[in-house]
Amino acid sequence: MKKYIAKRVLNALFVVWLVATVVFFGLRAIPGGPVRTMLGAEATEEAVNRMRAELGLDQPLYVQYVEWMIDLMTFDLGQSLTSGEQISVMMASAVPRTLSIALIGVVVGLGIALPTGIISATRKGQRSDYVATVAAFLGLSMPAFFIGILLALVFGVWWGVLPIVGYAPLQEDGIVEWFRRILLPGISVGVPYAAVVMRMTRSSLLEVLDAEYMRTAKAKGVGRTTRLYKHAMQNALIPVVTVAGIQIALVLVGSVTVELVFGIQGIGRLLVDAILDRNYPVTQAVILLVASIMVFMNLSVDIIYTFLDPRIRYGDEAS
Amino acid sequence: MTMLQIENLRTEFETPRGTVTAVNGVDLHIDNGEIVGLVGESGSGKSVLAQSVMRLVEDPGEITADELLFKGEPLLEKSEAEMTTIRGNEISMVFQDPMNSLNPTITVGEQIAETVRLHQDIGESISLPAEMKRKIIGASKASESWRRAIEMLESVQIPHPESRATDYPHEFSGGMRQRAMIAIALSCEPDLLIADEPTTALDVTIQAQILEELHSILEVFDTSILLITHDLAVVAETCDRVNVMYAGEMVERATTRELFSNPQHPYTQALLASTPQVETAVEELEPIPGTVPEPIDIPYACHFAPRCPEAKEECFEVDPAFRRVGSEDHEAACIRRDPVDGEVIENE
Repeated sequence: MKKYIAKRVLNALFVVWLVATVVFFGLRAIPGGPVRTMLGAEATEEAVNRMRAELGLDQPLYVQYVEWMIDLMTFDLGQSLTSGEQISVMMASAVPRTLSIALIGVVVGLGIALPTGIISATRKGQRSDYVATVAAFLGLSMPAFFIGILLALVFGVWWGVLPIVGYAPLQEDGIVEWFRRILLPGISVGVPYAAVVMRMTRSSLLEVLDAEYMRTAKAKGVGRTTRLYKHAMQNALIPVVTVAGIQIALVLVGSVTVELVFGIQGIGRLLVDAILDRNYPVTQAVILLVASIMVFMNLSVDIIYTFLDPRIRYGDEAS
Repeated sequence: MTMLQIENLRTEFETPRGTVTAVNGVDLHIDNGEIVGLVGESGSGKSVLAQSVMRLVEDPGEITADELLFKGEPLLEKSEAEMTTIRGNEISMVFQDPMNSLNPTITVGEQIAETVRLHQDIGESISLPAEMKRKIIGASKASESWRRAIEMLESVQIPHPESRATDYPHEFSGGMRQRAMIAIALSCEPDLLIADEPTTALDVTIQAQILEELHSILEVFDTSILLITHDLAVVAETCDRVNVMYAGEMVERATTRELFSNPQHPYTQALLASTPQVETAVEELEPIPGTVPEPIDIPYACHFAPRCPEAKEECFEVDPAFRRVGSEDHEAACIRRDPVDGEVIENE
């Protein structure tokens, strides 16, 4: 297992490097550099060149690339082209916001998805199944930011029970205020996630309930509830874990627009601004972070598998 | 005494294409300590009949019967909760495919121990939290149910039962899994064991071992067995009496010896002619032409008529009644057979 994890971590590092490289060159292929964006269309050629030299953008691409790689290896993310701020500082402020939203999103998502998926599968074809499937379809068809706007309208504007703008850091304002600020954006990204996971839970559980070993359990005289939770659930969760892990991406993507709706300076907001400004180092840093999260999620899913499915044993443990 | 008494059992499934009558008015009885064979091609309704007895047929299946008596008690009138106490305890079942019949995420030992715990008063909780705890952290190796599980594995000839009990099904070979299934089925010493093609998915050598296993069970536990198979050799070797089923209906029943020496129904005859036999070294096997009809509104009286070499017009029109066609209660449902002593047993 250790050997396997070490192998997977190396593999992950390679993937992250690949993403970094593609982003680096991809970004620079987009027309309109950061200098033109900053100085405007009327700036003189001379001013543009001076700025380029100042920012180090006049050097050949490969030199810039190698320099960035060396910086990365020393965990130096560089500075923002527009503000000169250290990117690590910007990230330190943005990342907790996005992770807070994502955390609530995943908790809310799984909290909705698993029970509804189970109800829907065990009452297939009944009214509760139809309601759940239609709700999941709605959840899937609405983008996170739209759900965010609806929630802000209902809870913020009409009922006025929750704030709809800004973030309250956990350490400074305490857990209640933090939660109040993060709840609506969290639900907004959590609903589409719940829809995807719910549908997977339903179909996976339906398949398992039909399996021959479930008939064996019934023939043994195992009661209905024990059959569902002891005999079916673990088998049904295997594909659900895959989807739940991979679709964290959906939560992060949703977070980009939801942060705009709720005026939260998270990494989504940071990324959008950075791309618009052609702020290369910031864009690269954010994408690198998201890529790392995804690679980490994939690894976690594979490790969770070993607990769920006794048939899966990685690497050197095989008998 | 009669262990199982079935009269006019019907199992129907409402489908968008019509009513599928998988079992169509079947009679069957099994005495104490008997091994009774149920033979027929794939699609003849054998498995559905077996599952109907345990009321395992899933929606939209509907079971009706004039009589479905187990030890004299009507099973169709039992509540689902009462059935739960009968299943695995008084009637148990071994399924065809040992690869998929065991739960892949529960250890073999726990799958046996669970059955013991459910049906025997050994003072171990079977509440959901207790069961979930056992599933997640494993059953206590010191418990009575675990000890019984190891005993059962031993009695079905699994080597090193103590360590094997903690294995998952995928660590077992096909033959071992079927033994484990048998261990589960016998763990509560049932009165009736229904074995649904228990050897079909196994190698011939393993088949013989499993059949031997079934025989010894009968002696040790005094269990009646309903053995479902399409393999006539298996029947010849194990069963006391045989019932032949075709397209949802019973067509012939007799003692094993009588059936093999004097098959009467054309279907039984065809079935025997299509089976290789060592002694007679048949020139050539004769497959039965055609296939079993889909059991939706079969429009002819004798279901076998379209494939029958002897069929005449009236075979398609007159319902074949059972008649005595030989010694020792040998009966067949074919209007082209003259009844012995003129005795026609039943007419629907």
